[in-house]
Amino acid sequence: MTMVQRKRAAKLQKTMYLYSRYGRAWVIMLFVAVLQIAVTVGASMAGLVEGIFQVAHCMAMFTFLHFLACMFPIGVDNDINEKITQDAYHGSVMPAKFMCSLPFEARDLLNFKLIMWEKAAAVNVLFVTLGQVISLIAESRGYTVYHGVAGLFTLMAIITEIIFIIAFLLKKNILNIFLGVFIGFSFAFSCDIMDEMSGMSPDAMSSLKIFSGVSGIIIYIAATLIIAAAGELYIKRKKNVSWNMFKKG
Amino acid sequence: MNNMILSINGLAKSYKDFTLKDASFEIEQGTVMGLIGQNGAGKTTIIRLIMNMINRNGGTVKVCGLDNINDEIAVKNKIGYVSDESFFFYNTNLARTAKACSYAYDNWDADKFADFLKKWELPEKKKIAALSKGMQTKAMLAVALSHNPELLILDEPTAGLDPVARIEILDLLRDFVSDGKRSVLFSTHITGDLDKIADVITLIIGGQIRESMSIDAIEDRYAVISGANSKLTSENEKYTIGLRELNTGFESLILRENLSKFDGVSVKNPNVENLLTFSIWQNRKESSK
Repeated sequence: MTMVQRKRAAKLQKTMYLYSRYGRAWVIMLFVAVLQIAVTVGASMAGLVEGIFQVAHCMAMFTFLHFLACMFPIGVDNDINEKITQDAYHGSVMPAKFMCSLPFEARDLLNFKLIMWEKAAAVNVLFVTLGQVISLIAESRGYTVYHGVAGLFTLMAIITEIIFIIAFLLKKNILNIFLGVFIGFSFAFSCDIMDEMSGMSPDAMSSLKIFSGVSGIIIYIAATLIIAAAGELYIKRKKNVSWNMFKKG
Repeated sequence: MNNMILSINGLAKSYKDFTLKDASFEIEQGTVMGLIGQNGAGKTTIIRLIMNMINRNGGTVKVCGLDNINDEIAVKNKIGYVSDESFFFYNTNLARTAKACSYAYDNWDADKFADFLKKWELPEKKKIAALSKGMQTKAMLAVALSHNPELLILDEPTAGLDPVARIEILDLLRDFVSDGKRSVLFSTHITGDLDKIADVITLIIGGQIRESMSIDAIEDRYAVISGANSKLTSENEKYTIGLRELNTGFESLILRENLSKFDGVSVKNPNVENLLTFSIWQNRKESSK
C-alpha cells in the first residue's frame, strides 16, 4: 500500500468514524486499555502493591471488553463486501451513496479495510502487552496468584485470532461476531476462576505465558501482514474498482 | 477548446434483466440537461456509472476531460450529487455531515453551507432522521453545492417536494449555470420542471439513448397532431410516433417534416412530456410487433 493510498484510506476512515458508533466505542476501549496500563505502571511506581493487585484483578474482568471492542473492526474487515461494511457500521441505514459521492476512490475503501485490520491487530497486541505488564509487575512485587493470567490472556487471544482468520477465509461475518462474544465471555469467566485458584503453583503456567506471549505477538504481526498482503494482491488484481453498492441499477 | 463538462461515450452495463447499450452524450458548459425516460429505462444506471458506484462493462465517462475511474478523486471534487433518496447517515446531524465533507472535499466552503442551512431553515443539530423529505433533499443540495462543483448531478431531486420548494430549487439550478461555466444533469419524471429550466433533453428508452437535443429543437423537429380518426389512413399512420387512438379521435407525435401527410388535423408544439410519452408508446408498439 503506498503512502498516498494509506493517506486517502485514513481520510476515509476519519470521515466514516464520525458516524460510527462502533468506531467511537472502539476508540473509547483503546483509551481504557491505555489508561489501565498507565494506572498499573503508576501504582507500581508509587509502591502501591495492594493497588496493583486490585488493578490486575479488575483488568481480568475488564479486558474481555477489548475483545468486544476489537471484534467490530475485525468483523468489518472479515468480508471484502462494502454492503456488509456499511451494515456493520451503521445498522439500519446505508450511507453508501453518500460515501461514494465524496471524493474517495473506490479502492480507498479496500485500503481502508486493510488499515482497519492493522488497527485491530494493534489493539490485540496492546491487549497482550497489557497482560504481560500486569503479570510482570505483580510478579516483581511477589504476587503469584496472577502468574497464569497473562498466559491465559495471550492464549485466548491467539485462539480468537485464529478463529477470526478462519472466519475471514470463510467470509462468515456473523459467525465471527458470535464466536468473538462467546470467547470474550468465556475468557472473563476463566479469569474469574483464576481468582478462586489461590492455591495454584506460581510456576504452573509461566512457560505457557512466555510461549503464548511471544508467539502471540508474532502470530498477530504475521496474520496482519498476511492479510495486508492478500488484500494488496486483491486490490491489484481488481481493475476498474467501483464501489459496487448496488446489485441492480 | 473543449468546453464539455461531461462526455459519455459508448457506456454499457449489463444486468440479468437489463442492458444499457452504447450510451453516448455530452453536456456543454453552462447548460442544464434533463435526462428523461420511464422507470427502469436506465437513467439511474447512467448516474451510478458516472459516480463509479457500479462497474461498467464498456465505454468511457469523462468529467472536465478527466476519466471518472482513473481520476476518481478529482472528478468527485468536481461533482455535486443529489440522490433520489436521502443518503445521509440518519443517526447524525448536518453539523457532523458538514465536518465529514470538510475532510473529504478539497474545496469545502463551510460558510456557504451555513448560508444554505440558514436560507432553507435547516436545523444544524437535529438528527437527519427527524427531518422531512423536503428538508433532506435541500440538505443534500446544500452539501452538493457547498464544495463548488462544476457539474451538478440530480437524480429525481424534486419528487415529493412541495411546489414552493420545487420552484426554489429550480431557481437555484438556474443561478448555478448562469456563469456559463457550470452544468447540471437532471434526471426527473416531472417533465414540467424541465420545460422551465432544461436547455438540452436526453431521452432514454429501454437502456438506449433515443434522443439528445436542445429543448428548442424539440419544437423545431416534432409536432403533436390530433384529429378525428377518419383523418388517419393506412398511408399516413406509418408517420406517427406513439399513436394514441381513442373513440373521440387520435393524437400522435410526428416529425414536423411529415406534417404535409396529414390533412385537417390540429397541430401544436410538443413539450418534453409529449416527447417522453409518445416515444414510450412508440417503443411499446415496436416491442409488441
